[in-house]
Amino acid sequence: MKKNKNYTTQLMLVVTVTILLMFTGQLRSQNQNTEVQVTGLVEDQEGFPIPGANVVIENIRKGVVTDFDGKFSISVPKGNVLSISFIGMVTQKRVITEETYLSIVMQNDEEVLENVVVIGYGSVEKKDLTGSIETISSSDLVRVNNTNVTETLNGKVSGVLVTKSSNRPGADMSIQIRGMNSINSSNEPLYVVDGIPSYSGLKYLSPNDIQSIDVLKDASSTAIYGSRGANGVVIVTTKGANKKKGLSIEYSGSVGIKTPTRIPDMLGNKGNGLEYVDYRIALWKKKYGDASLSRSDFLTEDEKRRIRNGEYYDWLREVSDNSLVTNHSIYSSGGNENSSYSFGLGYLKDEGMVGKEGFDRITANIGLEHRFSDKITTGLTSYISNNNTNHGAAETLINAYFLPPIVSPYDENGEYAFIVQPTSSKINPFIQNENNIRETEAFFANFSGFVEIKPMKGLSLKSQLAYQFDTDLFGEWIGTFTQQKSGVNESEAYRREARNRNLVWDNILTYKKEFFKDHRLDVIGLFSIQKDTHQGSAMRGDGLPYDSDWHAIQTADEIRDVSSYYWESALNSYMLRANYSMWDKYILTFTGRYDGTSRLKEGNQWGFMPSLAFGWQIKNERFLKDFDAINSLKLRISYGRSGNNNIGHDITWTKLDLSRYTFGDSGTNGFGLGGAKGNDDLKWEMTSEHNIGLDFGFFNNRISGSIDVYSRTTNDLIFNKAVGSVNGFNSIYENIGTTTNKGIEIGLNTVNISNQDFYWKSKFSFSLNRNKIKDLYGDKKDDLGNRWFIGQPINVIYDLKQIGIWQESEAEEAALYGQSVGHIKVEDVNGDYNLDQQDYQIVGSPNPDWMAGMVNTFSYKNIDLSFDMYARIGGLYNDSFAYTFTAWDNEHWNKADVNYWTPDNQSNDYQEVGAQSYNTQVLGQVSGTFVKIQNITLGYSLNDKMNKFLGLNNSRIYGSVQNPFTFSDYIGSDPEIIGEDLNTQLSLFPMTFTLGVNLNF
Amino acid sequence: MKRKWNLLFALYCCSLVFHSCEDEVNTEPREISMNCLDTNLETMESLLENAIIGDEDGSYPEENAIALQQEIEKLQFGYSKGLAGQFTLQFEADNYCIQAEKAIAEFENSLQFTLPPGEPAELIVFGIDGKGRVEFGADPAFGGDDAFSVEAWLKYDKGFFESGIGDFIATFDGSTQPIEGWMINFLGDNLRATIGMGPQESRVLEFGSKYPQNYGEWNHLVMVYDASLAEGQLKMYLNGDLFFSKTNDIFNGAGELQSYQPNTKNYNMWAFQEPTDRGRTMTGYIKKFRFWNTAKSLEDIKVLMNSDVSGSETDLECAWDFTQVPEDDQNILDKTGNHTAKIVGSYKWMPLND
Repeated sequence: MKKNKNYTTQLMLVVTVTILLMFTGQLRSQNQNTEVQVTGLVEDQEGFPIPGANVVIENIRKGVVTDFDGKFSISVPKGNVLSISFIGMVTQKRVITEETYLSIVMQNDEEVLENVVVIGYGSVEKKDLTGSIETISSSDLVRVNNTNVTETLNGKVSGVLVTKSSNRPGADMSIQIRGMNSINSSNEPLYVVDGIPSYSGLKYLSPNDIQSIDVLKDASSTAIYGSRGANGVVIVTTKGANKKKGLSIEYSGSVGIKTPTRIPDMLGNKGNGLEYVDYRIALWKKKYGDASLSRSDFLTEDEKRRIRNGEYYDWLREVSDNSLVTNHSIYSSGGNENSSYSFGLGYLKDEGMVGKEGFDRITANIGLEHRFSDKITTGLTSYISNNNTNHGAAETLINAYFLPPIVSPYDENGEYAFIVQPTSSKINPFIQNENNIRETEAFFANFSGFVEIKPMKGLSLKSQLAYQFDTDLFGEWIGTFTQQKSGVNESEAYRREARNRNLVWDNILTYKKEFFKDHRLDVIGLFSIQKDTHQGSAMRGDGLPYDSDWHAIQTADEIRDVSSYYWESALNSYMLRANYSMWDKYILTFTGRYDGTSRLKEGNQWGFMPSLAFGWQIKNERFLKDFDAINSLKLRISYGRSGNNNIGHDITWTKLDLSRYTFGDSGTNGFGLGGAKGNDDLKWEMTSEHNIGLDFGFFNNRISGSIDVYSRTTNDLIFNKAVGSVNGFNSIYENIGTTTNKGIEIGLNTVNISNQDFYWKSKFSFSLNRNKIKDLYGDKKDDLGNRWFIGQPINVIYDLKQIGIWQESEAEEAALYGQSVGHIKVEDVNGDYNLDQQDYQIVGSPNPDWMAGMVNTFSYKNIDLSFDMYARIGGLYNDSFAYTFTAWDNEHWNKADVNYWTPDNQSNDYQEVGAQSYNTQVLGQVSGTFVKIQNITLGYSLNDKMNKFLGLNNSRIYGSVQNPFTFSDYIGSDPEIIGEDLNTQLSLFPMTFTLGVNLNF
Repeated sequence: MKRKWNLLFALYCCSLVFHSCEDEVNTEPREISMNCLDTNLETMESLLENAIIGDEDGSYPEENAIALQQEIEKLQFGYSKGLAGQFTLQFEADNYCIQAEKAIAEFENSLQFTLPPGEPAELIVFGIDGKGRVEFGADPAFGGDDAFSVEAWLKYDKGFFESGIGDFIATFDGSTQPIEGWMINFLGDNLRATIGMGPQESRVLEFGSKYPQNYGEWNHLVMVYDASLAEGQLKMYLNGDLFFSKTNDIFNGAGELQSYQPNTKNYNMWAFQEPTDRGRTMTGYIKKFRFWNTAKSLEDIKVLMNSDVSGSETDLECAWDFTQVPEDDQNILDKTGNHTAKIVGSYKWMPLND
């Protein structure tokens, strides 16, 4: 009966496929020539056998795979073409006319490697891809030489927005893929490093250790990660995970000099101190009247003396210095028939340009693989990274900005003085550097081991156990002689540590089958369980008896803010993905993931997130076959749903809050209801997305690329909704609210010139995203308090709008507003001559209108040259720097040198100095537009003769400049870090000149 | 091969060179004009030479003559410094001129004349440099509460305040925390209302608008605070019109709205000099002053500016009219009969022009 059923199934399949073939006219008679026996050996360039290579008779799609020793044997009808292929290598073809023995040496094919895309739990060739995924190769990562690989994504991957918190070494960066989905939860994508999912970012990875970064953007691609895929997925494959055969040693080393560039123009800098003095006079006269200039605090005697002698101090240039970036990386791989290994070590030292700022990273990765037979393989991969960050002192740079050039850091003995300006509260930045320590010691480790069994052709069972561990220890010491302690208050120390563990067990079943003619089925099934634990503690001590750094907090007079925590969460998952390709024309991908999380309550813990994608290789249709100008043309249409599990582990709980009550000299702890009520009915925020894409290649692929249009909707946003104070609760978490993101992404690759000696190619990316709130609380009403408006982006600037400066001809009108000529002029929306909140409007949103990137690569014989451009156009940001240094009129501090209004220079940009203008907050509204040349690299590769003489396989030396040009109206240093925290993160923008070598032994 | 290396090196150097370009710095010495020193010296010497010094009406007090002589010597010293090339910037010369002009004005203001008690007159108080003020006494009630109004008539001439905040009337304490009380004051181009907010430290609710420049004319000012309003809690009315309105937007770090802090540390209420920061001064005329324990509306204010008070109004805390010369400048009873004011330092009762 069972046998009959099998026959029936097979028969139905045959009939169905035959009908389909007949309809499309694809049915062709098979060659019935006489068969001959062909045997052979497939090896790589180093002479190692390649097991698992496909040996296929082209016409009839019949084939075998090479055995453990790389050998094969196959019967081939005479006159047919035998195709030998292996992923990552150039396919070779032989016409078979007689019985023969073939010795095939496969060549690595970089282009082929580029065409392989990692899609999560597997990889596909680009031609079979139905989702929107972009890849950054190892060569790109190494070429641009960023210490944090996250930064490399900017301008290289369309739809990705990297936000830097600061330009201090080791600063954090965040990524947004296709805009913001969530209002209250995280918008950070899921990072999957060698199969281990986490939210730890990429800072701890060395670019030299990465094989590729694949960014999964649309929901049909990210649905494979189900409840964690809503914000996109960044998949990192390290070199340690891809074992090569043969011995190979690669060394990359570079030394760079960082120098501050685009130092903001402060009044009186670069030795032009009189400019500042003129400003000071204008400020005091306007603000306090002409007579104020005779006050003793207008200028101290020391300041007057320096002015007389022309002794001016350029604080920013003196407090900063050139610094070094050193990078060394060595990577070795090798193996034999049964085993292969890889081993890498990396060291990076990135010194800061101010004080003790610095970041150093030591990385090590190991990959081991052992093949017991062609059916059983086992392997181990580990990645370890130790990161030490010296964040530098807080308040150093801001003081250097504030202190005017007529102030000196030295006392009468030539030593650093603590108080450098008796009339001001700002202390000496050099002393601040010495007495404020802020450090982070972080350690990351990924370990994974797998066993893979291939019981039959096309079927693979893989079980991988992975463990991720990271710790983060932050310490701060604030000495007495700091800005914070004013030279009189006792020192303070703070320590905070966190440990995160993540255990993942993935069981993956892969089945690949080619049947009939040009029908391919690729199925992946997954059962996965994950548990992550998080714990940490913190304490603060006041009044340390000696300079104990941030250690020995127990010696403090008072220990406070002691806290500790522990929480854990778990995720169970079942996933199935089927990719069916027919005639290399039609591709259908179905993905379904069923996740269960401990973060939600029973009844809502499990969710199913499906996706469906269709690909149509139009080029392979008959009507385009003969169009030689078109090399490839593929349409992709997809729809998928994914969730956001990056929510608080306790978001459904109703918790008791801790309160401390004092009774006399002692205290006791009490617990009471917290302000927010938990909600058992909470569900995941769910994102559904439609994506239409077109991949193309024209004129022998001289022009190739892709265009994607998407529409994404996120429903069931989790809000802490205010409720009437009933039963002691003020708010409750609820799934309400909807946001949308719609956009276009374009990727374009062109080969502009290609001849024997000269080659020029360009890579261009463009993305545009429009983010909107569709609904908030189910009533389509705005939330004015939180500045959330229906139909507007999640983040907006809702404020008065500057329309210029009151000019002399407008004096009477200005007076109606109680303002003077030279004051900031804002729009009176309701025309009532009273500027208040009724005149607030949405003046902009801190989201770029569009972004674009361009990489140009030239090569002439052995010389290569490349430059990377990045443009971010539009967007309005609230910037503390611009506000503080243009709006504040402190009588003793310095200010940015911008176009202030004066009677002789009736500017429309900035108010008159000392004019006491109101509504100065509008000066913090700055455009985010900039164009950057991120990197220029000039390299020279030694020729074969020279390499041979030096005992090398390949070698290249290069020089590069990072951040050589930035075009922007932003008055701060780097328009990419608009909005950085002035006290703790303020940084200078580095331009880095690097010399380096890449050697391959 | 050598040429290739040279090319590489040259390109690298070029990139370093373009980075090192710097703007030019102007270090040329500046020319200092001494003209105003000349002019003022001449004026001061002429004034002193022609003035009648004595105690009678129509003469100048001897102490003012001595003060003017001292200022002449200071100006001569400055002139010598200028000639010796010790001034780097023009403001150093200008400072001497400003001081001289002030000395001239003070001397001219010291011309003596006496009006009899009960004579209709205007009161000018020379508050600049803390030389004069009106003290209204010390009472916790002056601090107000969740609703109060401060009403006054003020007149001033050009240069009526200098060097920072010019305080008109206040009971204010910013010397300790939180900041408490209220103040009507001038800064820059603006007439402002400032009230202490808390409990967070160093917070004030403050707003202002360009002060009227109708020098020599009376202005009717009313500052109104009303905590019960959702917006526009702090208002200023000028001559019967809304001058400005400010909503309380003072939040602490935890997002908690701060509230007005009545003065509980220094109950003094003064005009023309701030009771705690005594550098905040101004010179001007005051005609009437009233403190109300309620928040007056625009309609109320329109009526009040054209009417008098009896002193028995229920929400009136205090009210003074400085419209005629009192019997005793050191003991001026208010209309409620509950408070006493005194005029301290440099002031003058001026005859009415009309």
